[in-house]
Amino acid sequence: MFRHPIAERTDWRELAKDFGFNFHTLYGQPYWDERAYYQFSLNQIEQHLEAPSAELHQMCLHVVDRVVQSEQWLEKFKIPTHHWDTIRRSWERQDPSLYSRLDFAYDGRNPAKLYENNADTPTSLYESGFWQWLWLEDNVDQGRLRRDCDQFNSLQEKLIARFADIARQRQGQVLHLSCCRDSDEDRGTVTYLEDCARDAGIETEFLYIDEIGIDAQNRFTDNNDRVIDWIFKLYPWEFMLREEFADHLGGNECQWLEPPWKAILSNKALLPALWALFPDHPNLLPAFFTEEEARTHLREYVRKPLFSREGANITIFREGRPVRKADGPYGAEGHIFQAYHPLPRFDSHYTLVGSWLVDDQPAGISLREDQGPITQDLSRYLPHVILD
Amino acid sequence: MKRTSTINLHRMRKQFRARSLAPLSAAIGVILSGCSSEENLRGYVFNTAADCTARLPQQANQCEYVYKEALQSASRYAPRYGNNEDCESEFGEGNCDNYTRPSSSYYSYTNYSQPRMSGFLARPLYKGSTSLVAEPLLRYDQGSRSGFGRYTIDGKKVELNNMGEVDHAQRYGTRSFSTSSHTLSRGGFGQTVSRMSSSRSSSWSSGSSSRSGGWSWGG
Repeated sequence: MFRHPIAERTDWRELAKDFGFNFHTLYGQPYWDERAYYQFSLNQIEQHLEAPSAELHQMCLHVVDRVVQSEQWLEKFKIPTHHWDTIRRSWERQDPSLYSRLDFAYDGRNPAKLYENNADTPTSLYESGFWQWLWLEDNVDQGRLRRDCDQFNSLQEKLIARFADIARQRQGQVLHLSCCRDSDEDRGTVTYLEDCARDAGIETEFLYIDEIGIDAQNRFTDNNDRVIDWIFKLYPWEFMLREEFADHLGGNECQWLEPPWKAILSNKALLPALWALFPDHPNLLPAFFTEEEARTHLREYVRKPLFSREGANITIFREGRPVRKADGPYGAEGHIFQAYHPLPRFDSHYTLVGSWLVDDQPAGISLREDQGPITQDLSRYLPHVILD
Repeated sequence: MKRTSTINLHRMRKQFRARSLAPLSAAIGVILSGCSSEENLRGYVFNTAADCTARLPQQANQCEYVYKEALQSASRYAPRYGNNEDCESEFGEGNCDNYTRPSSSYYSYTNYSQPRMSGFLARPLYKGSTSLVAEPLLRYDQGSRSGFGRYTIDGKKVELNNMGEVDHAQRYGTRSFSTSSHTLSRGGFGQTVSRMSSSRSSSWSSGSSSRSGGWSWGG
């Protein structure tokens, strides 16, 4: 695993405009960064990332199976009591899921360590499935990268196939897609998924999450007063379960993507649960529900809110004292404690590897770089290649 | 190769997208007549508008209308296949049509194959009504369905009674696509994020100063 500088494509900003990639610069700072790329060997991809991703994913599903059957676990995951049935039923029905992203600290030599599972609302999908693919094609075509460069990236193909697969049960039904207002990044991700769904032959319609309505028969409706049969939402279950319309979830047949059972995977309580069920697994970091246990077992640990995004509200403790902290709006529901395992550094950059899964299969990776050890939403996205 | 082999670049281009070419306005005229649906509404399966007119001369002009409407629904909602062979493997030889959408439309399926409508199910809107409503039907000749015959687009097999008519015709098809309803309220999802956004200006001081560009709720 190396980090190589490379010249930017001179026309990439125009290309981005052409393709509607309009969040390549966020808050005035570069987000997509093609001044460098990462190189992996095929062995690193297949043995160190792909295989562990598939295995960890199965372990995670095992955790869901345990949690939905146990009130004690559901309490630890801070799932609101009156929605336990919604989640349990969603799991028992085997509601299909679309995708997820496991975040790893990986340095090219040692086993990748799982930071968290973005199983409910992962973003950076467009950059991963399409934009970095285009970057590779262009650079190979222009002779800047060797023709035998590959990329671990079958995301778009798998997303389309997965949509087609799920749509077989929903023939003739419009797929609604939804996210919040005021985020170019989220809207871009949803537009990309809409493209993939349409490629799979599905009729789609977009509406904002706050536009979802309810009718007299407890059914969710769209802006044209039509009943929503199935819907993709880029909006976390941990929010939804605490909002007014959550009470209608059990009263209709609307199918959600991601399904309600994902509330268990996107929850940081997953980490201590995994450690409890699979102690000493090479791709897991020790993690605990209480600070007392963490202090007993670990010299340095990270406190993570049960619900948080993009590194918000994370605090690093050394010998029991906070040494670094990221602010944010989360943490009210409690925290978990995970062994401090700093991100590897390449040149002066801290690098995080995201490993995507679609339909339970590893489907590609994405790389984020940050100036500090806590990856946040301002971290830059860099492309990668496979070359032996 | 560990990478997607081809991507339809044309589809991915956004700059010239012409959303207006994808009509989303078509509120399909199937209205559920409330909950009193257990009355036996008799329906009829017709192959053409002329069949309908012959059987229901009083509603001749409606026959033409619902036939066209059913055709339209079929083209919008019937399954689409990447090629003719896949389509015919479900619907039988010669029963699928190939389409190429205008390339000026961003959301074009450059090529796809779709089963041809195989008649439609017509019934009165409610008991005693002179208004007709119709569901397009597809004929599964082979493939995955358990029995051959005519199905609604959402996959319900049309059963005929011994008079060749359809009992409880209101049970067919109306649920699955574009069920019209009446929205009582909106805004019951998205409350958390709007609360967070409104308090952000005060509590989000650590980030860059231009946070107003929007916070992603993805991760």
